[in-house]
Amino acid sequence: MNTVAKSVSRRTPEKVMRLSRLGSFHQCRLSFMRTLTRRMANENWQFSRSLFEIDDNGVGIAVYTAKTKDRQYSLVAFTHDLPADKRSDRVIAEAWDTTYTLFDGIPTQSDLDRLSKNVPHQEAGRLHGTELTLSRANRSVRLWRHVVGALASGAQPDLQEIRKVGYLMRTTAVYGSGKFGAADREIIEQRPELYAPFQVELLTVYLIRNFVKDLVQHMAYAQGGETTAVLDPSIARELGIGNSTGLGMAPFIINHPILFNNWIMAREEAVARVRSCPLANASEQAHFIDVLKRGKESIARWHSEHPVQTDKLAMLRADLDRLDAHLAQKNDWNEYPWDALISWSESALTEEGQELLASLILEPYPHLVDGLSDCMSSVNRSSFVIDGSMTVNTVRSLIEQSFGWALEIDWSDKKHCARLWYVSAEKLEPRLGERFDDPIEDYEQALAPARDATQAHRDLSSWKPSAPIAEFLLQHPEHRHTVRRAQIHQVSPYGEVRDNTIADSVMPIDMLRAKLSFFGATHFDPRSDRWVRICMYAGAPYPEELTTDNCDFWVYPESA
Amino acid sequence: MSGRLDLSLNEVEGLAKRAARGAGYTWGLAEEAGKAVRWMCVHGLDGVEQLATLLQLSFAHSPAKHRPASSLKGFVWHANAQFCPLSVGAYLSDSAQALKQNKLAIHRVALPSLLLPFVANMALQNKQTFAIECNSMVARTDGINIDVPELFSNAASDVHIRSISSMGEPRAIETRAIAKTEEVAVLQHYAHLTYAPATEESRLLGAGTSLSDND
Repeated sequence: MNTVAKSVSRRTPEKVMRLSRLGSFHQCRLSFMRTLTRRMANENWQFSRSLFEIDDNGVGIAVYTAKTKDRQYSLVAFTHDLPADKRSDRVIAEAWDTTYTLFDGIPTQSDLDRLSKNVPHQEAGRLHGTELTLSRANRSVRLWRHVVGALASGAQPDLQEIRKVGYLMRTTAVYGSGKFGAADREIIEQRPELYAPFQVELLTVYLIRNFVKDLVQHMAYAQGGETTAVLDPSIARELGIGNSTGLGMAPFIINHPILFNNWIMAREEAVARVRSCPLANASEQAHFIDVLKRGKESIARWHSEHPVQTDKLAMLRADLDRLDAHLAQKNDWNEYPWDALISWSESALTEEGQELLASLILEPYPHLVDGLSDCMSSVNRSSFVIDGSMTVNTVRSLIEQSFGWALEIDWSDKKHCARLWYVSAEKLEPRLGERFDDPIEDYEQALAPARDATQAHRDLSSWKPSAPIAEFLLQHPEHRHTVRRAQIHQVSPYGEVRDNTIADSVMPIDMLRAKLSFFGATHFDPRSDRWVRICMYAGAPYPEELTTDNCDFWVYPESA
Repeated sequence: MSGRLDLSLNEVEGLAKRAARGAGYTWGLAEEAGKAVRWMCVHGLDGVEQLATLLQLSFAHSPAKHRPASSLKGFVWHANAQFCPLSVGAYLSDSAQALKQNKLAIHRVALPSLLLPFVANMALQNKQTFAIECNSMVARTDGINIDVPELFSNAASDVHIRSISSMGEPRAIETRAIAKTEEVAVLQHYAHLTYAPATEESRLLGAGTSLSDND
């Protein structure tokens, strides 16, 4: 009998870091929304609404405060009367139905006066270091009208209508980390409740969802008077907050290789730990079967009209049928069952199905997984500094490790460099352009690391292998960003996407989905190859409902 | 009298990086400029003004004239023209280990206070404290902290760098960048050169809209 415990390794970067796989990621226990709701419940955060001055036209201001053991965070919400022709989710919009900031503490009247002159203008306003985020949201006009109309007439809204859209409002940006004058991440990153990534942004969205529920009720009362129905809590819970995300987010994962590595590495480590479990007891098996069943319900409610996602959803549903059939025959849960399941999936399921399964097997194991949340931030700022004593030869090897696959590509072939990333003067947002159609090559951003690595590798080949890289960089400063990335790769093996980000076939939505899945988003609905709609917090308990029993698995619907 | 702006450190870093790129520096050196200006602001030094002044010297149009000519053979560096503090600074940071035991003299460095963040990198890497002297003024840094006179030399100067055993009273650490409006405007001007002018076609194609976002 073999008594040596098996330890399954993490999946390799070569396997994980392909865009098609990153674009098939699903939320999991480590998703930042779930980290937040678990913490809020476990630490018994208190929530209050200290101001709600909104008129019958839906115009006004509200303040909601979340109180932790040591601190308070306040959502300041402004609502506006937005003409229909001004309603656009695009970053080029200049007016919104609602605008928000998350204030660090409790705002005074003078803070509110200042914020009222700035927050409604979004990018055109200025924030102070007391503000942590800046956000805005627009109504889903169709669903908003339906819900207000139903409640005002004394009835509940139709659940099927709600499920068709999933949210009453969708945010079109949630800015943090020092944007437009707000507090830098460094100011807050040592606070335990904000240690995991994007916690202030996701607290903002959680509080927005609470506010939107109150606002729709308020508008129904304004229309229906005394006979207005109160929104059924079980229907309200199904409402998430939508989000439209475009290209502004795509470069993030290229520009933050250490942070992105930490996210991927944490999830891969979690998967490896669960695969290394020698057996699954009855309770762990039951837990998995339960989240799988409920996960299937969530996927049944996932709709998209985009042909790429429509196909992927059809394949995912077929994957789930194959998984059911496989599990029906599975009776051995005593011989590394999760490793066997993942190994089986690698040939039996599509990437959508494989990644869903990889997320689901983590669910019964909070003690193995949840602590990894603390490894997902990036505080290693010293890795920016180049080690100039490293030899030319070592740098070449590092480039080969992350970009060996790219060195043989003919980068002069149009199909391999058809696109380029640039920033538009109009809105200062990243865009993807056609290199050979638009006169924009002079404005290209450094978002093609594979091509740049190939060029650096070629120039390094004419240098003495034992020379310090400092000498090379003195003569070739154009390769400095590439050498930095190569050195970062040593500590961040999952930091580089192993696909061509400027190919004619690149799908930016894959980059968006990879990032959004770590937030905990569901129901990805691409609206083109470069922007996507998602849903956040659908199924989550509202503050007054939040308990340690319901703070974690809300992402999986209870029943059909 | 000029106004002052209160910026987040992320804003000032991003602005400095884009401005350096817009002025013609490579991406990697532009990243260094961003970090350097941020570091100066954290220590209450006017990195925005220093970079704005540097970029107007247009050194990036002929970079080879403004950086050390070849490999580090000696510890006295001369340039044909003034040295660019970003190019020299990056080389100093990259050569930290090689410079550990030596005194260094660098002749005619423009905006020498822009070298301070790079010498701080050297100090961090070597776990040493360095003194940076120019025009009879001395700054000292252990990498984390710095003590430096309020008006460190702005004029092109000869710079001497040597390791020392201890530093003086460190400057306070700031969490915001306070910068003069007109200097920010200079950086914004250069940053703007990195942005592609929009056309109606690129506006539609580039952002990828084809479906209505209103429902």
